[in-house]
Amino acid sequence: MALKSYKKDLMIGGTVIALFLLLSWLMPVKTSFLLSRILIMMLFGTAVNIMFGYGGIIAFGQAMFLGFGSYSFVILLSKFQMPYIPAIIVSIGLTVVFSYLISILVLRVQALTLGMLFMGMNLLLYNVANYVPWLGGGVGISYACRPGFAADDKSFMVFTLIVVAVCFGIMFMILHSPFNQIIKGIRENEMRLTYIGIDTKRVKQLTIMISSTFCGIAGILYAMLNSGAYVTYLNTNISIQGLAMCLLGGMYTFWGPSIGATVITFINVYIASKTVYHRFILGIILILVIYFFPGGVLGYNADNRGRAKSFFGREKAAGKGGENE
Amino acid sequence: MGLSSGLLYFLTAAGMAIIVSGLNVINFGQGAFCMFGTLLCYSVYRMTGSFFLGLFAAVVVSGVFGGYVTEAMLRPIYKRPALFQLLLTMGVGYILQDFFLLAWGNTMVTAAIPKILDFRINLFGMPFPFYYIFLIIISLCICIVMLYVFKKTKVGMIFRAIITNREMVDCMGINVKLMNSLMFMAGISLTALAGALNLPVTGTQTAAESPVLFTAMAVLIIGGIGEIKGAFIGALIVGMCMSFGAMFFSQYYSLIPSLLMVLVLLIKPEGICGKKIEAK
Repeated sequence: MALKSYKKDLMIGGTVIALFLLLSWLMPVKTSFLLSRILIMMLFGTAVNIMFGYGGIIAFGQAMFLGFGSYSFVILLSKFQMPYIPAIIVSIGLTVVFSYLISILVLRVQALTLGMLFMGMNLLLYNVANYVPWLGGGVGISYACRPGFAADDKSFMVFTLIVVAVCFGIMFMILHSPFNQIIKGIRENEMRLTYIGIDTKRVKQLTIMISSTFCGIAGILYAMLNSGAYVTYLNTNISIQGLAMCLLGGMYTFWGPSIGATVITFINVYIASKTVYHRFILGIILILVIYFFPGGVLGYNADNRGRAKSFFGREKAAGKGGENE
Repeated sequence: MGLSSGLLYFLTAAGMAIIVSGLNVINFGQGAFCMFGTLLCYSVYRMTGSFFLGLFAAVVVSGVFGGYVTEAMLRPIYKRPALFQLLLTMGVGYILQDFFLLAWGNTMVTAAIPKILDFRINLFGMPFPFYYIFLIIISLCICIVMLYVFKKTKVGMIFRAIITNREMVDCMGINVKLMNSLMFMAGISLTALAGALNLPVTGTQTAAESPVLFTAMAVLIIGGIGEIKGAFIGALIVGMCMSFGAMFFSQYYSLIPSLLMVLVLLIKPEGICGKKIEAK
């Protein structure tokens, strides 16, 4: 039963890997850079989705962990002269510890306040990175930190692909374990889970930590890609775009955020290079998605189809309640 | 000085507090709306030469626009989770930002203090620009009016009832959706007023994103969400700390609001004026 139900996901994963390899092989080197960025953002989006879509925890500050991962990695390499592999392990460890501390602090409050608090923390970290000279200030820290065997863009793309695929595998296993049922349960009805005897706060903490750790890994990859840690990683805009990725692709699906990440990164890179008004396009896409695909592209079910239809042909569907009053 | 900038944050934060507590939505477009106020005031001021007309235009136009946003865009999705409404305001904010860039160009917008208000008075032996005192007076007036409206009038009563129990108010036959729009309009107007008043002080940069949103958010959390009084006290604290911080350690001056926020949350998670919410 297990293998049969995962066959589809395995096939999707295989297809995506093949597609990325094919694209990087066919296209010029510049595309590989974009592809790596898309891959990293896919990892980031899916990590955000663990917390946001599955866990139902409003995560306004995940860029904080992306930035933390990359900053700690680059600082360990450049300031402490650590060898390569230990630096990766230690920075992942630091991210875990950091997310643990943040989760303790954040879980003192509820729902919407929690989201705002997350964003505040993110802002604090952004400001710290922006104004403390030891952290590079507004310029950030430039340091060539790609692994030796993947120095050029094409081979780095393959490296990223492997790392991201492994992370996706782990996340997939986590999200198809009983743990998934518990965090979904917390999303739907926290009180009931408390009655069953589950320490919901601890589970939430674990969810935040898992999500943040993968964000941190994405951050390390991002630092490798751009050869350095920069303040823009910590920008709250990235956090919000992470949410937008989940929303765009489908919050309650595993592959949804990847689609969203692809679209949003494409807008950020490609359309931003053509026109200054790329935020406008992002805004329009967001609004359209909210109205017509509330479940995202992959969550597009019969219910949404009916709603879109009744919106366009209101006279036909009159009485069926196009306006959900 | 610190007091006046703090009170400007109060106006923004109060606008946000109304929206957050009334509609249960964090308005991510708040920074854009604040900028909208500044830019409108700037244009009207340049065209007519009257600063007060500019203020008035900023308040009215952005209020109407806020009403439009709620009626046309937020109303159809009230049934959905708050998250969608929140992301919608963010989308509106994004669009507005690029609209500013299109309409006003990539410039730094600022103006001189209007002639009537541009003089100094002696305060504690020091010359003090009257404009800041003007800001303090306006903010205090608005604070008092708001407190009066919320505590004494019927609209305020309905508003407080909506914060406590939205469904119940709906069942009593009160048009909650209309109230929502009104609250959103009021919130946006206040924010736009803050932006417009800020025009002679710092002005705004059309390309950059407004830092107002985050400061206002910090103010809200410090004061306690859903409390006008809390927003007032939070704004005062943040304003004071920021001006003292600018004097003593100017390098880390932008850290202050978020640092204060974390401190307050460590000590009293529900904010200074917030009521203790029982954990679910």
